[in-house]
Amino acid sequence: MNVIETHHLTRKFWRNEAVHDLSLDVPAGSITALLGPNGAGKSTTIRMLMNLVRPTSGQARVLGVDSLRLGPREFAQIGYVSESQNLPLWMTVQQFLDYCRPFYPTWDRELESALLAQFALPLDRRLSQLSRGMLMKAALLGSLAYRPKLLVLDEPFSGLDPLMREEFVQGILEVSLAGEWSVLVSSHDIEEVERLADHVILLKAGRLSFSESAEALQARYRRVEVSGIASDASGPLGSMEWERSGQLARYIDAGYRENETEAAWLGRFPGAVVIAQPMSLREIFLAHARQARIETKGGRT
Amino acid sequence: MKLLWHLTKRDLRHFWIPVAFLAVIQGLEFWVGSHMIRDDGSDVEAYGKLAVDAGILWAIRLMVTYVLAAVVIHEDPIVGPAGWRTRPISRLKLMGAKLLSLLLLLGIVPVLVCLPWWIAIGFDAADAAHAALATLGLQMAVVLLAVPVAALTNGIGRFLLCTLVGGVVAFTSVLLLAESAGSLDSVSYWATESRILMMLVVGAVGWLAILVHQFLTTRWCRSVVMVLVVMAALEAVLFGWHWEAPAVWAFMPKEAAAGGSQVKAAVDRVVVGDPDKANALRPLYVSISLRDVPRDLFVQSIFAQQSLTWADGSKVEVSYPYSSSSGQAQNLGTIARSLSVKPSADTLWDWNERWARRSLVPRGWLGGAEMSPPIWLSPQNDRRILAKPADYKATVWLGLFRSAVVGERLAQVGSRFDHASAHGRISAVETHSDDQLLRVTIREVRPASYWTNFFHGVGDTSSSSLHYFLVNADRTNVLQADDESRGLPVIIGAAEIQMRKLFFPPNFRLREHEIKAEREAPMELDGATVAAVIEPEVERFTRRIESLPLPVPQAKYGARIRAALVTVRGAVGKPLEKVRLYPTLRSALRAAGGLSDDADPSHVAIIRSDPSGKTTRIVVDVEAYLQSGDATAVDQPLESGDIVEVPRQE
Repeated sequence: MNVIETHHLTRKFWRNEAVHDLSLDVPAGSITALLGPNGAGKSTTIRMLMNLVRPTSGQARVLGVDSLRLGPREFAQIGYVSESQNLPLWMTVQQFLDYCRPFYPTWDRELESALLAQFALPLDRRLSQLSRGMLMKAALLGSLAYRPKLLVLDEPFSGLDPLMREEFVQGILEVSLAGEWSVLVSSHDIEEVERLADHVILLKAGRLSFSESAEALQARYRRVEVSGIASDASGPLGSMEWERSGQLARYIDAGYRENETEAAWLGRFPGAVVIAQPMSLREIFLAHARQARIETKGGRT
Repeated sequence: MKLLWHLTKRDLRHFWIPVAFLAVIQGLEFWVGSHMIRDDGSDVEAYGKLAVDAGILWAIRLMVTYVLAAVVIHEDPIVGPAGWRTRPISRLKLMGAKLLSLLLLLGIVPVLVCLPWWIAIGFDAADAAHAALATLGLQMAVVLLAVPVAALTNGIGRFLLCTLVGGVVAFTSVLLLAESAGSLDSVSYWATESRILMMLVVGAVGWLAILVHQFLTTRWCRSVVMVLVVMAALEAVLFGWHWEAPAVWAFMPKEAAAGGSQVKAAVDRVVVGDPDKANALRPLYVSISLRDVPRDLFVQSIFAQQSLTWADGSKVEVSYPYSSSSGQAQNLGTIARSLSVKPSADTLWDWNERWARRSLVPRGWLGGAEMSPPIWLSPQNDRRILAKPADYKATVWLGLFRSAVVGERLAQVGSRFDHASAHGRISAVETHSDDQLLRVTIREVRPASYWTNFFHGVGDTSSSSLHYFLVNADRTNVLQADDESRGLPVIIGAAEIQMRKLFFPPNFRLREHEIKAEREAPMELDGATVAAVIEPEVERFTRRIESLPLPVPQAKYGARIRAALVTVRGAVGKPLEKVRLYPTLRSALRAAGGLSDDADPSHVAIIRSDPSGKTTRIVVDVEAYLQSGDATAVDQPLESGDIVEVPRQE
């Protein structure tokens, strides 16, 4: 069961294609990280999902409904927090919550109180007087208190200092434990969502690089070091960041399979020694980002 | 409904400070208004300054309303990633909430602020209701103008930029439209005005369509396209669609459409001599009473323009308005100065002659209906004349002006008064006796924010003085202005006999100390009595007045006149080649700048070709019209393709 599905979703701004032929799924109950460098098309994708931007072609379904037909009933089950969201800054936190409450029949006053205590938000302070982190927390509170089925966070960490970021992530993790909601969080920095995400989607220049669970992803990627190979040996197909120095080679294997990768090297060089080290999501993301840069430069030249 | 009120409450809470600012502006308007009401109109300059202040405050209030409407809309912008779009609320509901907020903040609140003022200046419930509706109407009109622009933008800067661009486009369109009408001709002007009015209606519907579409779809490009289609469709329905330049359609009175109409007023009697001998310098007193004046006409005045030349060669021009505070004081001297003509007797007469030819009005109509100030002798001129030896040559011109009927009603203090754009209650009825003419001054208090008073400043809480010349329904002779007549119930309007006095001294000399009323001491002129000299002239003028054409001012909108493409050539001020005009000969000649000095108005030709190519030549004697005022010939309709040819004198 997926809370979000897109099929060949494309969005052009005049001649520039921000998102190209994007097909992905966000499983229900997951915390999905939508990753990609700046300009990869994350925000555009989310805006299409929220029907803030109309797709040029393709289709998206959110909570089983065509994104173009999202109405009050669906939005009552969706929480949306974005860095570019317009919030009524003239309101105090209390006024903001009072303002949000009547929109949602499922608003949970107890959860609101719990979140307030957890986020330590000052009720009598105007939103305009809050720090950026506090402001995002207030927005998050306004989107969580009605227990949405789907929480969509568009670059929520942008501009937050490390302490605030930590608090914010902690907040999301804690409320996730208590809820039965699905979360889609976009970020250009994997570090921010590494602890959160159990499903990862990577966009590169508006195209899908991969979309899979964090577990499968980490199982698939290894930093491999091979020694005892011929000095003219080439890297295996699909390898990234291939470096060779004499009989020693290093690369990132995006299709690592335990024993099979080692067997393949031993088949080619019987004396080869293969050491495969697991990679963090951050390393995988950075490798992809570097690869994207090389491809872009190559494309330019 | 709960959610709708929830959103409205939020706006009320958020925008109370700007709305309070609006109320402060209204308070300032009342402050100015209270000064204007206290002002007795004697210091015209001071009163004018107050009126300007009131106008400025009024304009500021409307501008603030316009910007505030945008700010309220931008609280939940229609374009851009607005917060409300991911909230569970339908666009229709949001639109309803916004309109409710705007109605309460910018419509109801100003009315509530005005209410104490209306009570203070003596409005009854009906007046207050009228004023409230008018205030609400204007405020909401401004709001509805701002809302579509605000819906298309997501920032106040863009909103103001769009307003600026829209304003420039609208202004240019109006100018182009006025230009396409071809001239300052009043008929063409009216046709243009009708068209502009209709375009405003079309524009308003278009804006409304933008608003609805924008709220429902948030696709502004499509909104604009849709509105253009709607406006084009409305244009086609309302005006008809032509491949040529947009036709100037006019909604004109049926009578005018049929080629004009004449109504004659008969002269009841003429009195020569000053009946009350009040002024020794007015021995040649001619009083003309008009009768059978239709109820829908009002002869505003018959005026005299006088030049006195003494034996020593000095001269006094009597060319000032009688009352400088009348509010209608556009005197002939002013007109003459604006034309760089010295307002001497000769030049005025020459000017009048030229003006008659150019404007296609009968001779003697100094100014005509469009410039219709009555000219009266002024007290200071009287003093100047008295200081001179009374041996002078006097020349007087007569003019008859016209205006719409005011209507029949009692003009008593406290009674309601409605005329044209003025509404209110009569606060004073005064009489003036120095010209032996009963003149009643009505000081009316204009309710604040009267919708119908739009061009004079809605929200203007001022009072102003309007002067109407009244007659008592029960008295048909010259009224003596005295205390008894003060507060008399009088009937405003021409349904009754309208009294005017004229000075009519043709060229003759008076000996010193011989200035007396005719009936008391008949004066001689070359052996004949003054009466013997004057009466033939009076008779001539009587005939003239009887034959003067008077307009039918009441407009019954319904007859549709289509403009015709007409060419005017020959001895005219500005020849025209296939210009779209209101289709009468008079209108065409006016549009072409009137007859030039060397024109032969007796043989103006209309050359008309039928589809088979056969040409017909219709000769019209415009000179006869200039002499008699009979407009039947000059108001005959023209057809598209007609050529009007004005020959030159041989």
